[in-house]
Amino acid sequence: MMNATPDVLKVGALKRPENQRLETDIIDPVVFTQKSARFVFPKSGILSSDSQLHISQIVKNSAFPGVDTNAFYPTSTGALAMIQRAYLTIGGKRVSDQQSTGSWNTWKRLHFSNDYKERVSTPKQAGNDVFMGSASDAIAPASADAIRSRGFGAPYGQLGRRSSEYCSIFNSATNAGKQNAAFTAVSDKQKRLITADENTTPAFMISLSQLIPALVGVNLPLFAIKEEVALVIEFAPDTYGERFMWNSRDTAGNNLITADNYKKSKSTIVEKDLFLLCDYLFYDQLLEEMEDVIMNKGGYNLTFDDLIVQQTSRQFATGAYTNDIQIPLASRKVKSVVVQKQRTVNKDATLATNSSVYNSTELHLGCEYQLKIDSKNMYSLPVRNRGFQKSEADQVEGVPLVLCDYLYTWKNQVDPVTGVIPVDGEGITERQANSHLQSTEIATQNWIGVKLDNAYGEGVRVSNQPLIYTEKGTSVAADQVGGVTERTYRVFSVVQKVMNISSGLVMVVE
Amino acid sequence: MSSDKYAQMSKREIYQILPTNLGAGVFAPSRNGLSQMIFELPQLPAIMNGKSLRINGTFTLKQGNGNAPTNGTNFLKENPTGDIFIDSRTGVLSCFETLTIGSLRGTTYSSIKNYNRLMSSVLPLNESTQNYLNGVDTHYGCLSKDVSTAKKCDRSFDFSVPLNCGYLQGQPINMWITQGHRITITLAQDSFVIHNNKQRNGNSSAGKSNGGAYYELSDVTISFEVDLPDDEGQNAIRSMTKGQMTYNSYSSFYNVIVSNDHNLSLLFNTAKTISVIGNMIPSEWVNNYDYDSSRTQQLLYDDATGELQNGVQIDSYTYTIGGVRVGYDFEIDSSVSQENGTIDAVKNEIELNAIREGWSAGNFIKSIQTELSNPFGSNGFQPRFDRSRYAIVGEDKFQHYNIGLSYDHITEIGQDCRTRPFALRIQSTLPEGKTLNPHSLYLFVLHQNTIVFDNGSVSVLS
Repeated sequence: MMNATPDVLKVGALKRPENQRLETDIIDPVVFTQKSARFVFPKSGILSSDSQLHISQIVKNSAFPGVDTNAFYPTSTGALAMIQRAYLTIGGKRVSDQQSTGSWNTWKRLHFSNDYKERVSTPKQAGNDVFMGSASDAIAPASADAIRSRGFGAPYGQLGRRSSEYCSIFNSATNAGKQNAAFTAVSDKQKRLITADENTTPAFMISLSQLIPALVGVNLPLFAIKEEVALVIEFAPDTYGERFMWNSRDTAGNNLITADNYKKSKSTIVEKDLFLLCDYLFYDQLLEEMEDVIMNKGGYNLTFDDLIVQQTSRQFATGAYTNDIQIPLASRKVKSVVVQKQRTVNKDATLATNSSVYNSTELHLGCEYQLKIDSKNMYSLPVRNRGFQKSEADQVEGVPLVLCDYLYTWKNQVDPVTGVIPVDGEGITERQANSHLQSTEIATQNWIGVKLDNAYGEGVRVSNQPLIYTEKGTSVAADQVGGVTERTYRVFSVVQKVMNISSGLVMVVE
Repeated sequence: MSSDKYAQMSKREIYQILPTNLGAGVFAPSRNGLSQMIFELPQLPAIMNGKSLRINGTFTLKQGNGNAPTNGTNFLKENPTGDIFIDSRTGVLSCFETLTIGSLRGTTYSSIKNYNRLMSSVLPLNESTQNYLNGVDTHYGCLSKDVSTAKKCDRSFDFSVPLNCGYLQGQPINMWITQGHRITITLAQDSFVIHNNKQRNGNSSAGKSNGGAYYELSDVTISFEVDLPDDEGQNAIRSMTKGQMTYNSYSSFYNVIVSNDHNLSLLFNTAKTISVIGNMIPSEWVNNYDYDSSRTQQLLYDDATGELQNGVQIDSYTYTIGGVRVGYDFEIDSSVSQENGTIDAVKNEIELNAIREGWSAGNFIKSIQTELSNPFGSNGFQPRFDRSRYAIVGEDKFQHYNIGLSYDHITEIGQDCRTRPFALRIQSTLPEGKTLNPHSLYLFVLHQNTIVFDNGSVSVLS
């Protein structure tokens, strides 16, 4: 019979007080290039899953060398945009692997409360995605209407990031106090903008549990693993829209949209800023007992959730469409499926958006979806209602997605036949954030999620047949911004795995 | 079978059920007479997660002539047109007047009249403004601010609302022994759900034109998740013939306040009475296009223009059961705090305890700004927050005034009110020369029910 997992390997409060001590080490990478880095952990204590990766980047534009570009981190992704993939190896074998790290962590971050985003995530990892302000686009000319609306013009009742109630001019002696729409623009704080200098660019911290799915809720007993334990990080492409999002003006006032100069910005990961801050936990008495169990008494089985990512692309010509996506998960225990529908044009000037490529953009007329498991439909009716779609997505993580309806769906903002936004139809304001219209973010976080595990957290054991995710809908001309008809579908499947730690060796047994 | 085996073998299933009285697919009470939505959930050898139950559909608001509202362009204009909207704190739930849950064999498990008024008290305490603007809007169709909610009403939107009632929000429900469910929702009148913007602008009157604005609910379904065991587990559930289930339920009572020394006496006929909560509104505001029928105001008297804008000074509340002060053996005295225009901390605490502790559904946060600090009294000053000039980025400051008390939120045994009438005295002071307009008082009594199942017969003990 397998031994029960000890509490010290789980994340959370212990049932009773234990003698413990904590040591923190800084670990530099053993291998570093602009493509990837590799860290090797010492065999010391129990690795806290809340250990942190310290990371920064600089951005230089070859058209204006030496000038800070005002580049910023994608709004709901933050510093995780710098990483494309992370995986944990033990004895050279991949134990847990997270691909599309930026996109997956965007989904995760959308579940954080606004308080947490403002007080923890944003200072620690950048980003700027708290939509709490009611707003309006324009300034109204002096009139009785303007008195009643405090100087703002229609449309009334839009949402946006917090910005000025009065949009008053403050940098002109002659016009001081007058209202001006330009003064409603917001931007990331200066201290979080990426500079061109290694010494001034801000550095951020990423928790290991954000990079390695196996470490969510699990502390790794490094002291009892004989093999080499290593973390490998692959960086995202160094171009605009991937590691960073561009601002239309640099600090010298140059317009980077002119001649597509924004495309000349390149990122460099700062080597001196890249290190791990590892916390090792020591429970002197317990470690001896655990070592005995691991070495001599069969060891432990640690259950964890891992991520399988599948990517494909689809073209959307105008008219009705049906997209079937097969998800091969042969005989695995599946807990949930999350679908991203990425629109990459959001990084370009055509539709520059604060979230950049880390989006899941709904088609203007929405879609209905169905998931087929072993030839049986998950839903008795395809899910078409946007509110129900979000309710289902909310079930996946057990906490709701914290985002306003206007960021989730086009419905309520477009003509139900043509998909065109009528005058004053947008629910998100046109006030700018980091020089881009906030209204470009409408419906960019339309993540589809299906929870499969039961009330006890046990996933569904699927057969050799692939899951089939089907979307049906109608694509309209409004979906083809800049003539781009392609969307990247990315399916994240959360599967249950078991890691056996025994005799100092680690094996993933399922 | 061990519970571990159930854990391994059961699977999550989602059920989506159409209303049995679908008609042409649209519920528009005043236009096509479909004023009830009836859903029949089958008897299943499975366990339902009541918290997952949602009513899904599409909400559409129309002016009397069938045109869509135009709040986006008109809401803050001096002479607005087409500016009609729904309550910003209850949203689509303001349409649900009565909620009844029973078995398919006719036993009633829970029936709440004036459900929308109950939600007026509960939802703003359950959800913060942060939630309203970031997720609640997708489910309930409201954003806590009138201007934002009004904009949303300009075009159809989808909703997916949970049903906040003790029966569903308590323990998981055995769908077999409860003999299936019939959920009946009676829809509220258009003039309850929809209102003008008259409180900010006297020129606002679009709701009353062309026979009155109206709403439609279309593509309505009910959805819920169940844990479905394997065949062996299903047989085990089917073989259950005896058992009991305990849950909390609200009963509702209505009363009209016409005096500044108001006494009411009610026989609840409930054995385990846990708490009583209530809210008030001027009676002329209910089912009136000019006012939001979901407001929870304290007593009001008219200002110089004849509008009910000024707060009557509330002096005290006294609660008794069977003639004895129970719950609090003192009067809850508000006179000093009301006179000074300060927050009424004692009443607030009592009111919050009654709702927070009596309601097991969630975590309540008193976050929405209210007008509790306004200078009430006989001086007739303008309220501190001027509604006509509107703070675009600020929270709406409408009163969220509840009353109530909790008898027992620890053991949930509560008070036996089967033979002892509940009584409430509300004392207030009106300025000289003023008379009190009738105010509707909605009381909701939270009590514990037990259903006893015995070989096919079902009895509900309350």
